[in-house]
Amino acid sequence: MVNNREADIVIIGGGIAGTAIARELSKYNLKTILVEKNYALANGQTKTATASIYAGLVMIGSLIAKSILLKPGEPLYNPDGFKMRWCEEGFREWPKVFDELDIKYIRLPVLVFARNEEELKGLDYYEKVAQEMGEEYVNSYRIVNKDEIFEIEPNLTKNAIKGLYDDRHLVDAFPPEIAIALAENAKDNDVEVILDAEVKNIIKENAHHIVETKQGNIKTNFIINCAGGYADRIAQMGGGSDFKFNYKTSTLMIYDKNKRNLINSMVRTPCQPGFLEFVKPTAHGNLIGTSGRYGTVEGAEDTEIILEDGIQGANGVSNIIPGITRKDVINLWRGVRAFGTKEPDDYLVEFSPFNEKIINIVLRAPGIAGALGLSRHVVEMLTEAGLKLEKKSNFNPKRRAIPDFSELSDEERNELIKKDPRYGHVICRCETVTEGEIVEAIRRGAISEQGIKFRTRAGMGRCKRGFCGPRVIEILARELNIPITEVVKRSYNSVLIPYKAKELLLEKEEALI
Amino acid sequence: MMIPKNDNIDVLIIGAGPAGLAAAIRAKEEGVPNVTIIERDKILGGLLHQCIHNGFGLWYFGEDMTGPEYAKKFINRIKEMGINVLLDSMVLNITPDKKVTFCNENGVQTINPKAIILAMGCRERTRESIMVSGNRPAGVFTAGTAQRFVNVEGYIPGKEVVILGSGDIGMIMARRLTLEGLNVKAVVEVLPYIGGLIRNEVQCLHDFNIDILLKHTVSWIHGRERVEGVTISEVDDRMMPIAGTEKRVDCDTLILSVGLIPENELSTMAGVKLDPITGGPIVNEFRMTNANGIFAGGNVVQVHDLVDNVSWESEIAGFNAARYAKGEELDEGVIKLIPGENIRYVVPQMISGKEDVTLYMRVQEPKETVRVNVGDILKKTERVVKPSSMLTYDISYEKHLSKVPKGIKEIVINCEEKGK
Repeated sequence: MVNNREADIVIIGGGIAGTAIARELSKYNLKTILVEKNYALANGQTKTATASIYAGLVMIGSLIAKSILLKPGEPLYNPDGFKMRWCEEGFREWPKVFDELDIKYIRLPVLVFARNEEELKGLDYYEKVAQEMGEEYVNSYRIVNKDEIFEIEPNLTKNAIKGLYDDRHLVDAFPPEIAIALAENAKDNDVEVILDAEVKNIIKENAHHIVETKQGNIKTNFIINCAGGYADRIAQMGGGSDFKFNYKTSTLMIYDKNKRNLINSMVRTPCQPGFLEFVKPTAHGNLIGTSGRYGTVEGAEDTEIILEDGIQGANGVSNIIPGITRKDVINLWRGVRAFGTKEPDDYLVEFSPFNEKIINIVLRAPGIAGALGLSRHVVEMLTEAGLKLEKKSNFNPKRRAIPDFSELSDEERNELIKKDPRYGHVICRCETVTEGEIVEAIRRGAISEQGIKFRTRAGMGRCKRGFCGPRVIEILARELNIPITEVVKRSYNSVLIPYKAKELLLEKEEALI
Repeated sequence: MMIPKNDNIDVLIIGAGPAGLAAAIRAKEEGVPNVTIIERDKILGGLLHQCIHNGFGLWYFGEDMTGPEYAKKFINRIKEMGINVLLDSMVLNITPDKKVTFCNENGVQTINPKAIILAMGCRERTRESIMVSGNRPAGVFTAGTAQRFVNVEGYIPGKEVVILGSGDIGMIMARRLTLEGLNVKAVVEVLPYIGGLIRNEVQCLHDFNIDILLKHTVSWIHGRERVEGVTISEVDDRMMPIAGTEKRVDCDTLILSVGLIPENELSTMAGVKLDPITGGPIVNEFRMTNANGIFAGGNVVQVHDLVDNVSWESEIAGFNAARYAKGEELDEGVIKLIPGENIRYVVPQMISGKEDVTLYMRVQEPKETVRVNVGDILKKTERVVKPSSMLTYDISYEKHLSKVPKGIKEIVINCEEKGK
């Protein structure tokens, strides 16, 4: 713990908003500190997102699905709101940033199809909404008949009768990878990132604030509240909150890579208000799918898996692609989406009405797509608030990813192994992750099993750490120079292996003395 | 590490667990010069090293041994016989024309053996694959992983444990953790009967007074960061939790012993076709897959309950891979063996009808006093059959198969209740 740090800006929260803003601020001569309460970045809503960055047909569906959040009389499509402006901008801009930061991504076509009368009506509604949204959206897709559908997706259910096809408006990446890459680049440009630094309180002191964290106090000028589903609590610490949250959930499933070749595009049935159903490839070669209504929960932590939702979801996906079954699910989770009560249909980005030094940020899905526009807007807000911003002359926009052994050619692999033999030692068999990659992840700041997983994919495969789990724990302990009994999954109280053998027997013996 | 001459391998065995070791020895006994085992671990023996309980080798050696002792017997033979060993080496790819790419700390290499034996074993079904409801905290382990922590690494996963599933490793871990001073609160089994061997039920659960809850499941995992407890519920006939039967049990660890899946990712890369029931390659009596020269043995083919059977079965693969490597013609499987009434699967899935063969099979449901009919050629009465106990029958060419009419394409195997 280091006390008495000083900063111009403290960013609270290491999700997509916090890390995007950290990177944007790292372009200026400022002292910026990002604090994250967990042992890994991207541990809240960001990690549960599907990481689609989209315009076109997917955007139409997204607006329909999320229309349940609209206030009465509010239009479905508001091109002037923050969310829509930055998302449309983000769709064009993100691929460039992915290239700069060496983030893996794929472009996917999208097929929305109908199997029955009701779904045909759903397609009609898409077309109606597209009309309202304007020419760009009308031209983003074309109508495809049954024959064309099966040319695009030969493994689709035989019940498909008609579809809408958009071949260029979806980009997909792995959300934690995006946040971590942004943070790594920010760190390379002198932003300090502190993990396990839960904010306990915010105290106003003359013209400054003291942010009290688990890792010590930070004296700062501005505070940017990027605490996601906990942003209301942080706002409260800073003087008051004029918003709360409604929490919606949906269950997402990851499928085994051996099903990857069954589809070519994102395949989905028409979205309905509050209902989503799709399956699509991920940037790393799995499939991700969902089927179900948005659920409502009480809080940001209500992320428990529910068996019935999993079964329903898997059945829904099987009804799209019969070759994908429940047996192929290798992971599932229930993502919580926090929707602020103040601007339920838009991003909330404003100075707290209770404190002129705190910017409250409440993104809502889609959040990753709009994060770049958001980060620039925050810089403008800070300038207007009187912060002197001076561009760095030596800002380095590039970041290199950890070498992905599984994707390299044999020549490249041999070169790596020659430099560091640990790259020849495969630790995670499902995803072919080597010891070299894991050690490099730790060098870059991973201090938990989750941190390793998000950076290298070790443990993300079908055996779910059955094989690599003990080995990753061993490497973490060795490299961090801590006992194995202190290695955690993702937070300080998620120790994986708490005792040494015989320890409990000794305890029992002592009780008998 | 010495890299042996890799350009003239007759038989390459992938995996040095019980299957790989037995297959290698049997292949070498047939006189092929270069038999090589490739293994990802630093030592030979695979999972046997973490199985420090007894019960190994009762049938194969007529001796009661621990896992490491059983492994040692084979490893000694491997050394005596001059079988090549590539340790700490991971196979990355196999092509249908038997090019095998692997890597280790010396780099990436591709070799082209005359025959390959797949002996990668199996992996455990996970919490995610069976979709247990609730939080996703630290403290949920598969039984095999927990076993590795306790017996190999010297660490224990918690203080108070609930075990979901009554597979053999789960029951063995119930006893092992009790001996380590942990409180094993219950073994919960979704089926109306125990999943593993009777001897493990008696020696691991009954002898230690561990509660068994049949027709129950873990319906919720509590605890956001670390397991704080589980809810246990009765299940209905579709194995879904029954509302109103929930009972909360405090614990810090949940161990899963809910089934094993043959490890066949490499097999699929090589174009090997799998049986959807066993999860393993479709093989003939020589344990050759549909890919010419690629054989398979042990838990890659079907999940066994006794290691002795793993050794025996993979010896078949070893013997025949050697014959293949020597250029011997192996007859194709022309007669399909079809699982009929109350038979879940039969291995091998097809036979030539020209050689002696041992049939391995499992039933669908437990039954008492049944007759197992292998077509018209063999009838056996069994007092009790259970899905957890594999049935094996020796079929001889002279006594049985020679009497099968020429041109027959399939033999159906039924397990009928007697008196029908």
